[in-house]
Amino acid sequence: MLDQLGNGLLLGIIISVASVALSLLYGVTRIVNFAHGEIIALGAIMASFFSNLPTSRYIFLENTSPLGLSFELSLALSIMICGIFGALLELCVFRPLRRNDFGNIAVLVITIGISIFLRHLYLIFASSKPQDYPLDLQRRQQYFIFDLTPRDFKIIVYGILIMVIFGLFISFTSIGKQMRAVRDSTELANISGINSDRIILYTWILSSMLAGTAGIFQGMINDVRWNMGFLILLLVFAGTVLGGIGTSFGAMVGGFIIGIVVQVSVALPFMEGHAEAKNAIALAIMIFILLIRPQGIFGIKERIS
Amino acid sequence: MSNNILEIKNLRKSFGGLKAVDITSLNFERNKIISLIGPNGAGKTTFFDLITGFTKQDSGTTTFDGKNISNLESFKISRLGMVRTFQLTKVFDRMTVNENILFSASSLKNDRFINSLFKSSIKSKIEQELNERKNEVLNMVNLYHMKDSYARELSGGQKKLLELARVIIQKPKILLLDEPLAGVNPKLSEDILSLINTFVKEGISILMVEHNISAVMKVSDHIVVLAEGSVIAEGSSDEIRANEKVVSAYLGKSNE
Amino acid sequence: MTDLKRNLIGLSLIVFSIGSIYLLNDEGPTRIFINLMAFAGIYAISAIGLNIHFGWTGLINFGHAAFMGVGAYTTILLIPHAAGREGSINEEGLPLFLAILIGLVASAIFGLIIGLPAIRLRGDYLAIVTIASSEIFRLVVRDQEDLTGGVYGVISFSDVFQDIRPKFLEDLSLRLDVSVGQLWVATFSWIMVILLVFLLKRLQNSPWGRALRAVREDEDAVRALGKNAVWLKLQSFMLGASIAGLSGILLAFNYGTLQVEMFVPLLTFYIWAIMILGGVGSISGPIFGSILFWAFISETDQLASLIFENADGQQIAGVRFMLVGVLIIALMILRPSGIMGKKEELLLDVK
Repeated sequence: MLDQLGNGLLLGIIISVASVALSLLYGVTRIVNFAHGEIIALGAIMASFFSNLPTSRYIFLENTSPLGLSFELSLALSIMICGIFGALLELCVFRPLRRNDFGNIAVLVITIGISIFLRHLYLIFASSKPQDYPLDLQRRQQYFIFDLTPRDFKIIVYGILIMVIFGLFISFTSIGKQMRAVRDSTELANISGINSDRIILYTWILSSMLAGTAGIFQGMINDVRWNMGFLILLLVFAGTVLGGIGTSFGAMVGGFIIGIVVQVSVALPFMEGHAEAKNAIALAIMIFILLIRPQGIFGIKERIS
Repeated sequence: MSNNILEIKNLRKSFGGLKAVDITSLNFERNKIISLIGPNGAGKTTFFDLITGFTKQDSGTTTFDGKNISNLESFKISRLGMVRTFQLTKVFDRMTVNENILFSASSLKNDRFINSLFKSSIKSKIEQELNERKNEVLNMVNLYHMKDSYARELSGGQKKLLELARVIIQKPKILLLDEPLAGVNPKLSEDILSLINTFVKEGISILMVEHNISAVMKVSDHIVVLAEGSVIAEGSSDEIRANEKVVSAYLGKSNE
Repeated sequence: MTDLKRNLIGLSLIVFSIGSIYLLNDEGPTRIFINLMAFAGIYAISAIGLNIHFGWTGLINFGHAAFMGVGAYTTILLIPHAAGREGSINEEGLPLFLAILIGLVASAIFGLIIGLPAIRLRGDYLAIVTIASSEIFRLVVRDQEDLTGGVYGVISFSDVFQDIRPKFLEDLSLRLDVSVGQLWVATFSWIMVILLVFLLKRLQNSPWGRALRAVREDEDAVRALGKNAVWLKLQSFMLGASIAGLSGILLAFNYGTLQVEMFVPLLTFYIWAIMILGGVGSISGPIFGSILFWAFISETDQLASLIFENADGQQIAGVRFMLVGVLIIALMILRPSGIMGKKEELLLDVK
């Protein structure tokens, strides 16, 4: 049980970071981004490419050897690449779509297209085999009541740190405030002189960087795989919806709860021998929340029917 | 049967602590044009939403034609003969003008899946009859020449007319019109008002929300003034004109 | 653009793409063609169901794979089969057509169960709920190994379906040098497609079809006019789900095995791609869309071998699916009304 609680904490952090990213993007742009999972995977795949030793048995990118950079540098570079990728998505795809008045549903379908495209691009270049980071094996230790490896513990600390920084950023910096203004009402924000295009661009960058970070964390715990993003995408949706879609704090808590629920449910008596179905519980919770309280735990009531 | 088509008692609704509608008692006489006026945010549209079942009321009783319809589902209220339009026209954009009206005219039995599968097609006898009625109505609102156009191709004013045609084909007992003249040119306003007069002659009661005060004064048999969710005055046009509360409610708002 | 012109364009595209299959494949092009037509027919059926949901009623259903899966699992488990790791054959079973009928009803009921609470939700929320439901279905099927065979799947169920095969197909298959089993699946599927087209033609212009379209346009107005929008949406959901169920059953017979991984969300997205390619809301759209989609997929395999020397299965699959993504994006941007859709009734530009 304590094992599972530790694992839940870890998964909670990952989904929480990814949910905050998804929720921010939805809040500001109203885009339900099905390609979010692929940005998560991009972070993980890039980090593995930067950090693995050139001499290692590396199966990603045939004919290319990984760069063997230090792990911290790899993290920073990967997160930056995710940010740039997010910016490119906005500039090359979503801004033109917005200019041409594409409807929400059309944009949603396009994000699905992007997701399918990117995922299989990864499959081609990264193969379907799992890849590790060059990190030492570590033994589990006791932290308070949780059984974790020192690296796991680090992820939790970094994760919480990132959330705090994000919270401060969105609450106190000028860009953060403008993001919130655009989220509340794009038209009002435009009238009050905010350049909403610029803010949306920043939102894409920030959201993608957070997603990439979540991906790297996930890669550190499990493996890096071509479809890792899509596998947790629905859990990220669940976290976002649970906390209240469009609210950052809600997504943070919602993602956390989903992660813990998924892992801890494995230890429940009726789930014995059904570990594979654990995600179903999180998804069922999401549906249930949508039905009884569609604005989520922390969302403000809004007409959604 | 009482002479009132609609009786409202203790109707209350608040949104998140904010009182939107609070009406102790309000009765509407049969076969009259009754207008609901009041400054923006007075709760006029909310009042419509409440009595037509589009919003759940907190408390109160609404009696329509002798039946208690409080918190009945909207489509059931409509079937009883209280039909409404919306502030922003809601025509079926990607359907033709014909289809817009036929859909409204078609009976529930005719609409049934099984019926559609085995008996009724658009060429059936029932549909042919509907078609004739539809053409009459289209002629009445002067849209016959547009019958095969998609509704999205109509002008704003034409959409208003289509909406009227769509509700009137149901021969409702009472028609609730939410700003039927909004965004309509003066010529068309005249047409719509004369249509409304025709409806009343055919025995349909009219309840409308409208901002065009001069039009309201001209056509209404009775006027109800709402402010901040409550009735502050009611009476004939002359009585309303002379009422100081009404004047101050409007002026008070415009001074802000 | 007139209907005739649209039909001609659609037909010439199909002739062109089928023709290129014969040009590009020296060995056994007919076998490839029959394989393609079997899949195209089955996916067309599914897309017809989705079109009722989205094209007619405006319901954003991203859980279509589960509707297919429910039909497939119900029917297959009711006829003689072998399920699970042990794979012992269960000889008992219901007659095929009764089992299919129950499968269709099961899909409709599943649609009702998901729809009943979810159908009041706004578009993107409905999308999330339906895709989540379909994943729950998949995870549960995978988990319930005793009943469904879990990850080991179900096999040895095709005989009852092949037993009703008309005799003349055997001669035909010998002459064409194709598998008789698949020829029968393809034939049966296309008979179903034709029946469905007649059914839909009737429904589309019926009062019921008109009511569904009105719901798609504006639910509030529908309610204000005294029609029960929720019930109409549920009916649409059930009908579409049950048609998807038929498609799922045929998909299982086509593969000859029933695996839970057949019903991943990607399947739903393929059906969406087919529906958009054919033209949202149009009756013949899914048919054109499906044939073109499968021709496209078949030809991308050649493309993969051009890009990679000695492309392996993974790379071929990767290129193929990647191009499906590109296809979806390109269609949405360049021609959201698809081949057969009317621009005036274009749904995908909704705000």
